[in-house]
Amino acid sequence: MCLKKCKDDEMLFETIQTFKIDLEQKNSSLKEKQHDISEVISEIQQKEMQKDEIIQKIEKLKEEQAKRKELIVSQNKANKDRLRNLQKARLVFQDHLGMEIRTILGKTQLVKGEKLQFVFRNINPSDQESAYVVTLGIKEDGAYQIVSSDPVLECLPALESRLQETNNLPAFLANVRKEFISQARS
Amino acid sequence: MSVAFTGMKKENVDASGATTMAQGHKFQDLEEMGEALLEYVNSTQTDKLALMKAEHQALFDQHVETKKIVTQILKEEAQIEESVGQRLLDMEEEKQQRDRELEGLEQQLRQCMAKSQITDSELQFLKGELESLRNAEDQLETLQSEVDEDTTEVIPSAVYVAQVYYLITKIKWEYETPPNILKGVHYGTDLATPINIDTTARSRSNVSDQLWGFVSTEW
Repeated sequence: MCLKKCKDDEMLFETIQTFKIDLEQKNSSLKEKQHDISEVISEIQQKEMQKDEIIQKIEKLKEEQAKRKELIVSQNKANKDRLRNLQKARLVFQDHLGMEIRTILGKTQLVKGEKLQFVFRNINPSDQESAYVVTLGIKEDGAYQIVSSDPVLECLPALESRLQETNNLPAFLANVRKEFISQARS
Repeated sequence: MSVAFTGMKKENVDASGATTMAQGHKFQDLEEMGEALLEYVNSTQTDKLALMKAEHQALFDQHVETKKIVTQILKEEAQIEESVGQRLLDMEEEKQQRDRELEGLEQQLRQCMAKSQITDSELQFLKGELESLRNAEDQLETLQSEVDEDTTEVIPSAVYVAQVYYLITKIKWEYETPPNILKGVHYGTDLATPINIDTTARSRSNVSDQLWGFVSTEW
């Protein structure tokens, strides 16, 4: 009987050992889990901070953009409206007056038209589209200078000197047109 | 003893006498044995007996002692068993508690991970919003440069051309007119002349000639 008791007691102690080991494992699992949880929590905190940062950025950007957009859109509208009207005028002159004005840029930026080209149409009744061109330059002092004409006009130099004398551009152009017409319609 | 033998040889003569004699002999034997025993008892064997008795007593005492010790041992063992059993129960309970704690922590961890994922997707969404804001910014930049170009180049150029036209023709047009009607005013030095032309009724060069009519060829 003593032997049996001994065996039983041995088993008891074995069980206790097993329990002890199990408990140790559980404790270390618990520690691990706790650690994992802390890590995840701090990750979450970081991400929340990131979120807040980004939200702030977004708010700020949205506000700025809204302001700018309003300004730019209204400026654009005003610009386009003005351009539309200017275009209309230009077209009416071009089509019905029969004269197109071209500004030719020099190598540097356009400075109130370094050269001006006047393209006459509706000159030749049988070919309304054909172009009659006279090109002028404007010097720094505002004086006009004839560059060329196409087709060539013999009287052009004379007209040029009258223009330089009087600075009367409208008259000059009217006369040039008259010359083109007499050439075309004779 | 020789008497016994003699008796036995003469047995058939007197049976009862022989028997009695035999019994008498037996009693004698016993007596003798008793005497011998008494003698023996009274001899030195007494010491041995006393010794034996002492040993016996000692054994008995030892037995009692051993029994006491064993009882104590068994008692202590029972106590140990009890405390060990208790310890086992405590450990069992502790184990269960740890299991519950572990379960709780597992759940907490799951919740945290879920929250982390949600936060991740929130971050993704926000980053997307930021990206599209940045794109909108680019678009705005493009529009701004268009506005700038218009303001600094296109419009001034168009204005200049318009000014040249007015300089030459002194005509201002009306725009809210039906498509084939040309309506405007010529601002001469003394006179403002209205213009009203139906362009469908006339040829292009005809209209042009009329309009150029307002521009004097006189220097």
